[in-house]
Amino acid sequence: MNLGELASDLKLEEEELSELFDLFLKTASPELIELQSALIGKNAWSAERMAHSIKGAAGILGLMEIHDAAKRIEMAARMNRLEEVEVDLRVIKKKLETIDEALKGRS
Amino acid sequence: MKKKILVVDNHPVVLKFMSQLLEKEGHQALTAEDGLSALEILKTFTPDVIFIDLIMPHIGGEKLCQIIRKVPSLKEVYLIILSAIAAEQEIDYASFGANACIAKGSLDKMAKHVLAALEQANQETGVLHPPKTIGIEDVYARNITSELLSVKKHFEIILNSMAEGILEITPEGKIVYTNPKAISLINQTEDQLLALDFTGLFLESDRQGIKDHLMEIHLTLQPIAVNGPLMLNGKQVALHLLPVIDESQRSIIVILTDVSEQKRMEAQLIQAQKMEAIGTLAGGIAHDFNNLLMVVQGNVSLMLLDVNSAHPHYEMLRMIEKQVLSGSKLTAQLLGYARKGRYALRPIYLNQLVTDTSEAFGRTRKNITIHQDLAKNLFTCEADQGQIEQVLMNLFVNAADAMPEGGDFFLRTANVNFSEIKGRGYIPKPGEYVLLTVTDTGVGMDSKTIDRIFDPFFTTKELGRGTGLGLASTYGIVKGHGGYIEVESEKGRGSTFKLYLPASGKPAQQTVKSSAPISKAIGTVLLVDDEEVILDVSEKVLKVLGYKVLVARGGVEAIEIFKKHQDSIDLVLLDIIMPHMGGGEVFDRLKEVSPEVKVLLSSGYSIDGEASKIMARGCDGFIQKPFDIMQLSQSIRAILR
Ligand SMILES: Nc1ncnc2c1ncn2[C@@H]1O[C@H](COP(=O)(O)OP(=O)(O)OP(=O)(O)O)[C@@H](O)[C@H]1O
Ligand SMILES: [Mg+2]
Repeated sequence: MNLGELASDLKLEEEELSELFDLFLKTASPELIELQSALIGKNAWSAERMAHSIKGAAGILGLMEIHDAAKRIEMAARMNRLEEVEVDLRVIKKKLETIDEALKGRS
Repeated sequence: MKKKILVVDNHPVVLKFMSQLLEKEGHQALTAEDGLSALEILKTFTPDVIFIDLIMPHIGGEKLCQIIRKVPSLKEVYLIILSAIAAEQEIDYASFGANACIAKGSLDKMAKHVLAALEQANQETGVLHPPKTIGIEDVYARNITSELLSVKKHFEIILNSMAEGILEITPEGKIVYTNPKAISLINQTEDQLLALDFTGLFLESDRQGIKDHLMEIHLTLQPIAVNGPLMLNGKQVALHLLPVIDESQRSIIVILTDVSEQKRMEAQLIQAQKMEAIGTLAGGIAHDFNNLLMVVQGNVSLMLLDVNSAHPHYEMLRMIEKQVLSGSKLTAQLLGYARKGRYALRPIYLNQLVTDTSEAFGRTRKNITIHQDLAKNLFTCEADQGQIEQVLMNLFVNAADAMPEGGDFFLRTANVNFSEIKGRGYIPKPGEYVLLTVTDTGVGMDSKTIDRIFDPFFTTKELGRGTGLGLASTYGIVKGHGGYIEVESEKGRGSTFKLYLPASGKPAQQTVKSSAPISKAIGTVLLVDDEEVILDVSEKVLKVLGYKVLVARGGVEAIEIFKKHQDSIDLVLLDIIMPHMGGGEVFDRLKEVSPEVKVLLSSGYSIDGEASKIMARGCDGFIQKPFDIMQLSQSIRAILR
């Protein structure tokens, strides 16, 4: 993941973008944990809302892979088909890790 | 041009992005995470432009705009809506006071649109732009939000149709949502309520308690029911406080239930039970007193037979008799209140009774002018004449007491249909009624007094002047007759009592009061009572009258004696309330033995209607204890004639 490229895509300074990503990680990570425990606890309602929130923030930052995965989880949760979300959950987790590494690599 | 800007959005990433962008452009930007904190900031900060997210917790964008527009100092602020749902739904942002709307999208596009909107704000001077959302074409993810929207609408419809008031408040007690029912219960507009301190809606004295509950819920996260009830806008309400834990915030849902009506019913029920209990007690006391007075009366009667008016004890005995009479008036009031002592129901003509009673009354109060307006063709009503006389006397005496300097006294009668008795606390039973209106021009009453006048022992009169039983017994008697009583009065404006008695179709019966002197009688009387003293005195009285007397100390003994001597027994004088076998059963057994048997009932009272039930089964007469020698003589003669 190249932050510089993405920053220029979004027409932002690299510095600014990393601040936004940092903030995104800080809000999305606990939401992801909550999402996981909602899935384990079969709490579709809570899962839906967590996914919705992650999706919104990812969309704003142009993180379309996370956005799309979160969107599928949100839909599945609404239909109460929690068993379908395993793959998407892993996508989100992986992507968040990548962002985390990219941010660490910078500093 | 450098601007002061406030950004309100619940996502930190958006806030961060916006402040980066705006500060880079040289503006001063503050941020708030929800509507409530925005309002807090606006207390001290007057921006030129506010960006407002449409969907937020703790007062959403639409409400926030409306509230801002009501603040005079914020009238000129340029309001820009940030919306993720703009693409799915036509947002009529002008209707809630916003100047522009930007569709949320990815940051690069949004940056462009934000700057464009600011440019627009620069050019416009208060003129509203035709509503057109900027940047819709750049938005993705349409379908989900549109579904979300319909879910939101669905919940809104449910909340709007709830019969309970529902509020959402922050842990600090600030109102951030109200449903329509809550608005109508509290009777303030939504704008007034939002951001208001919830506890402030209640009475000063209740506030700390509510604050404590909020604190408790914050700590325990357990729901709390406050059944208080608490006063809110003149109503009694119960509260249910439910903690809501969201991913980002905590809030409390308050369910407001109007329990005024329920509490009123409960109070009424308790009052009714209390009255019932007092009634039973009063009735029991009256019964025992009547028996006791019976013994005094009987003995005095016997003694008076032996002394002439010159005897030194004559006046004293007369005095005792008078006191017995006052005593029995008192017990009659108690029985009336207890709704007991209704012995002889028969059709009576109220006009006649009103005329007779008021005439007798008028003779004692010369300074009161009585006006009568009595309906012709008045229906009869089935009533106990003695009790209705008692009611009239109570009303008359009260009116006279209210006019110590004299005055006017109006008596009106009329036929009314139940449908004309409306708008009262009760629903009258269908049918025709006879209405008696009693109006005086006396001192009147304030509403506090009116509330209590039918309570037993409530009196405003000095000790010894009133017992407070007059209206209590009046009420009991009227109720006992299936009627209703109402009062209208104002302090200094006189009083009006209205009495409704159910009409009867039967023609009135005239009562003939024979005043035959006591003369030696012949015949045998079987005397039945469970009390030794009563038996003793009654036996003596009967013997004085000339009767032969057989004595039975209870129901079983009475039947035995009657079987043995039925040919010689002319009349049975039968007490109603006795242990083991009551008068009712004795009466039936006697009738089995001999259908021709003549029975005169006597009682200190009867369990409601017991006497009338026996009368209805063909009993020949009833005499109320305490009776004197003359009354007994007349009652027996009336049967044996
Ligand atoms: N016509 C009236 N005008 C003003 N006040 C009245 C009138 N009738 C009743 N009241 C008020 O209602 C109270 C209760 O009346 P109620 O007849 O039950 O008792 P009382 O007259 O005080 O005593 P009692 O009738 O037992 O001698 C009175 O003390 C008086 O204050
Ligand atoms: Mg009175």
